[in-house]
Amino acid sequence: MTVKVFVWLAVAAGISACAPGQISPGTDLPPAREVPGVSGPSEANSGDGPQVERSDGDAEPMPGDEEELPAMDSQAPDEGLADRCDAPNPGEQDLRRLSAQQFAYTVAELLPGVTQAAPFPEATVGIFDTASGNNTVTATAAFDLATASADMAVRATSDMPSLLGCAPVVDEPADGCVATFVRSFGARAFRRPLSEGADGEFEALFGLYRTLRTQEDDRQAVAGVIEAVLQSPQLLYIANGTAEVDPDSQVVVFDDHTLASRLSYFLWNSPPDDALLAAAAAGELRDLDLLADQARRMLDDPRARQVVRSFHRQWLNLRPAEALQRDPGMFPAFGPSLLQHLYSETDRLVDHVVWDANGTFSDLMTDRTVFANDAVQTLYGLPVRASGPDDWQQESVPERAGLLSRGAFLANHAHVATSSPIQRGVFVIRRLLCQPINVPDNVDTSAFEPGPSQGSETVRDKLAHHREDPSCAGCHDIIDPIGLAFEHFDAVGGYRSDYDNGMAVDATGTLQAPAGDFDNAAELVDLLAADPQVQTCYAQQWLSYAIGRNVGADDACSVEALRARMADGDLTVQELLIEVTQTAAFRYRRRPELVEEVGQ
Amino acid sequence: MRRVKRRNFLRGSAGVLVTLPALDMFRTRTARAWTPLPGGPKRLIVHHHGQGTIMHHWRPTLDNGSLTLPAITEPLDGIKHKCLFIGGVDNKVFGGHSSSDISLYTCDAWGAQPHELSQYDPGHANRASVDEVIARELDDGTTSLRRLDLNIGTHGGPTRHFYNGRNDPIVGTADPREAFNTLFSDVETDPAALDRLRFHRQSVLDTVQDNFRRLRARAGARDRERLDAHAEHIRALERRFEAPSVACAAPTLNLDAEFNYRTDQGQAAIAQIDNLVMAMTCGMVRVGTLDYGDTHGPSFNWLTGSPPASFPGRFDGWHDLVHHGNSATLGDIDEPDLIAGYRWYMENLAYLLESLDRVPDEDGGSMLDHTLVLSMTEFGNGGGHSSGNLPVIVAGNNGGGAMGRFVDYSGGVSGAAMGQYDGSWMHDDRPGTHNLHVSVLNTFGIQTNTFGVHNGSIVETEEGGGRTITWNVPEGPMPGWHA
Repeated sequence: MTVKVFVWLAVAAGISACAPGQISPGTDLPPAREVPGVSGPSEANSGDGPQVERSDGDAEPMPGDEEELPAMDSQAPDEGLADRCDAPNPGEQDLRRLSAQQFAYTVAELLPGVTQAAPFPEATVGIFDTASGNNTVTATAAFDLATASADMAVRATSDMPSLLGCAPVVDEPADGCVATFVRSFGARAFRRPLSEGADGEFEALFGLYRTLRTQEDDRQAVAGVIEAVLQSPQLLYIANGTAEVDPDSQVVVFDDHTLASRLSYFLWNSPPDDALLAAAAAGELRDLDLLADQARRMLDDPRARQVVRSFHRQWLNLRPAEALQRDPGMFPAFGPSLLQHLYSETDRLVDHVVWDANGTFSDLMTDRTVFANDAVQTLYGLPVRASGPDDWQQESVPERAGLLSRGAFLANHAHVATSSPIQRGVFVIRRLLCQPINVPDNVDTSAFEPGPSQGSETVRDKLAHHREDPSCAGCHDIIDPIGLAFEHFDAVGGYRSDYDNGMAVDATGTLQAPAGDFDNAAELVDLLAADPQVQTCYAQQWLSYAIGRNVGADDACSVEALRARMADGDLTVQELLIEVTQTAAFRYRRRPELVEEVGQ
Repeated sequence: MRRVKRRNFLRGSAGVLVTLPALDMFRTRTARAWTPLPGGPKRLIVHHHGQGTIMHHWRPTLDNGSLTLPAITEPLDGIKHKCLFIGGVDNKVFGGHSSSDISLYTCDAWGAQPHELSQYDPGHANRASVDEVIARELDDGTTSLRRLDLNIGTHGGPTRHFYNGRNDPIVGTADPREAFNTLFSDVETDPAALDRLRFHRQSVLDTVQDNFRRLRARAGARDRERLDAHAEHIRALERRFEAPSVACAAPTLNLDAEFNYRTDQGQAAIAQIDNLVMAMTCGMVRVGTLDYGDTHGPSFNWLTGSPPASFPGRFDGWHDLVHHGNSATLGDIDEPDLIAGYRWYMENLAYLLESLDRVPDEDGGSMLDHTLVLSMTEFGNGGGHSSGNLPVIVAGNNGGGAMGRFVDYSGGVSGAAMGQYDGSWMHDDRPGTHNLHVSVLNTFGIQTNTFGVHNGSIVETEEGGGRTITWNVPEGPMPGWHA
């Protein structure tokens, strides 16, 4: 049986056809807004389409489930966009706090040898941990940070001579041993020289040392300085630049040190190194070519590999391994340990494509290379040649096309006992097409989820039944056929030709645009990977990850720049990351006041 | 049998109870009218569980002047004389189930704005929740914590029920060991060392505040809001470190070595309730929340010796059971495991209330007698995911109204009369959660007639066509609250 996917890719066609007549509250949504490059307000923006809220139909809510990227226009940009984009044209940038990972790496570089005392907790809002929506520091986080900082500071000062490189005297002068430490430690922590003078940061921190020294010894007093630095907003937040405004474009131009922080937290999740700080001090980073040179240099560092892995784990919705539970009767081998192996397999594929092969997004979607240890070989039904969990063997497996055919993704888009075509279809639409799918408030989507197959019925049959209800069909005519393409993969990512009830798996379908029939997931991802809109969507999410916020209509120029580069063809993932640093959204921010004026 | 298991666990963690009076927790009481102590409550606890209930197994019946509790609420039998059961309250905010979490205690809609989150991300609530309003009211600076938020199970993020303010979710602590260490780490530190520690922390935090001031001076308006919210938490820390050390003996927490707070929610519930009762006993906090953070995934395998029979075999987990294991779907039968799951939440509530009732209060009576405990869930009927006819329990001190009653605002309609799902679709003539929360606020001496977006009507726009729906609900407190 072949199910046609009728509406596809084009915003206007796709979203208006989804959920006709469904009611949505409306008052939460921004008014329709003219988007540069879009010929009119998109349906998705107008507030009368269904909205993405919480897909309660997911038996296990996914992180990032509730934040989606704005819909993109699939059509070529209008002629005026190029002119508008001659001047810097970025969106707003909220001050953003370091992510838990960024904080951990920052501490590790500031205090080598000191293990972080406690994880820095964060609220999960949106797809990526770098998102400014995660900015809040809760009371719990503030307390944890205070106690962890004290603990780390005590351990960091266990060897004072090697920490300071000198011996403090009784009444330390402002240019002595401790002062030198305060200046260098502070500059590394704040990613720029400390301000000095009447109300300077140096005076405050050195003053703290002197105050503490009245009742404590040198070690305790220096520890207090470290403690204060670790809790200071100058460390915890990525700077938003001084208020220097470009007189022509009226946007805030990030200064060199701010750019250095943005660059290093994007490419490394870590603070700038000495070379980058030196480039900032020399005023080089506002030069596009020199900025690209730094980015290129930084991509050669292992820290960049961690970031690329982390991005893809989050993009694929990979949850903490212990958070996933599966029916032990059906999947006795499944558990956190197997899932960690699957995550490692996905990491290895990402490493292979991005670094070893210097490949493209399309390669990530289609590469059949499998790195498998014994557990993964067993799950994938491959001959078990690996000698154990640490023996990772490389082979090509035809049905394992790219990231979406791997156990890590598949198990995270499934239920306790069954695969979830809906979760998988929704993922493709949201994360590969950057299209919103909206769950109207008054529709109970959880009733849509089919349970295990009974009798001779298959999941495909059950989904067909629920699409007989017009209120379901609007969205599910789009979602279900895409998700069903992955039906050869069960709830933990194992491959199957038949269901448990003996019925054969049917994963076939048809896409209208890009036009093509597919027999299975591998053929579906071939169609998707070659599509310009999918490629732009991927680039847009890298931009969103890099700048720590959603990419909105104000960023049309930045998205267009990336789209154009992707459209040139064969842009490697590494080159894409460098392109991201060249965008207006990375290098500037809109003054909030201007937006507010527009809004009034 | 389950209660025996719980008792064994409590004995195993005797250290936690070391300063609690060792009264027989199994005493049964005959239901009798009970009137809270005058003066109003001085503490608030909100107990929230997910996925609604099955109203016809929850709804008490009056029998010869005494309440008879059906299967789900039956665990409260020993303490029901200090409980007020309320039916027929609707969450009027949109009424849809995806906004039911954020609106339940805020009576307001999403707070997200496009420039802050995403045009398509509803994000969080638009204002502080009712518990936070009360926490600010009760805060006189003498307790080391303004509020204590504990989760039982977690999905990894905030539960989206309790809010400091707009888009500012309160993040609870899900690991009872972490909560315990945070709460009681300073107990038993020697006074001289504590003085030195206070001086050190105070000086450090002063410098941190100073750095906030510097950054703030150069920040834009919205960035300032973020920095101010963060700095406010630093101020709370300063106060906390200034506060005298707690005047109670150091408790201990005793959990299995392989205890996993994500999955062992049976143990986690008891430990978190102990943590909260202990913190209140020690005078550390006056407002607390207990919130089950894992609304979709609990296995409930702690309820009996083996995993419940009906899932994961026939049902794809708890969430699926909630939807498809009730009589609205199955006909006349509600799955026993579904009832058992809902009942477990009430067992925990009973344990909380009984624990509070065992501790004498410095002002006479028990701690419970001076505490308003509010137990809610975001749906009326779980299977319908509908936010009308919510099951509400108020226990302890409600300001003086007689307890041991069932106040039903549902209009007396039964499940049969209302069709499926126990009449949990909303009715214009029922009170809303805003009425309930106004009542709670008034009980705490906060004189207001409104809460949330409520001013007697809620406006919804349908399909951009501007159709206006006006909810015909009364303004002000709920009738009969103090009767």
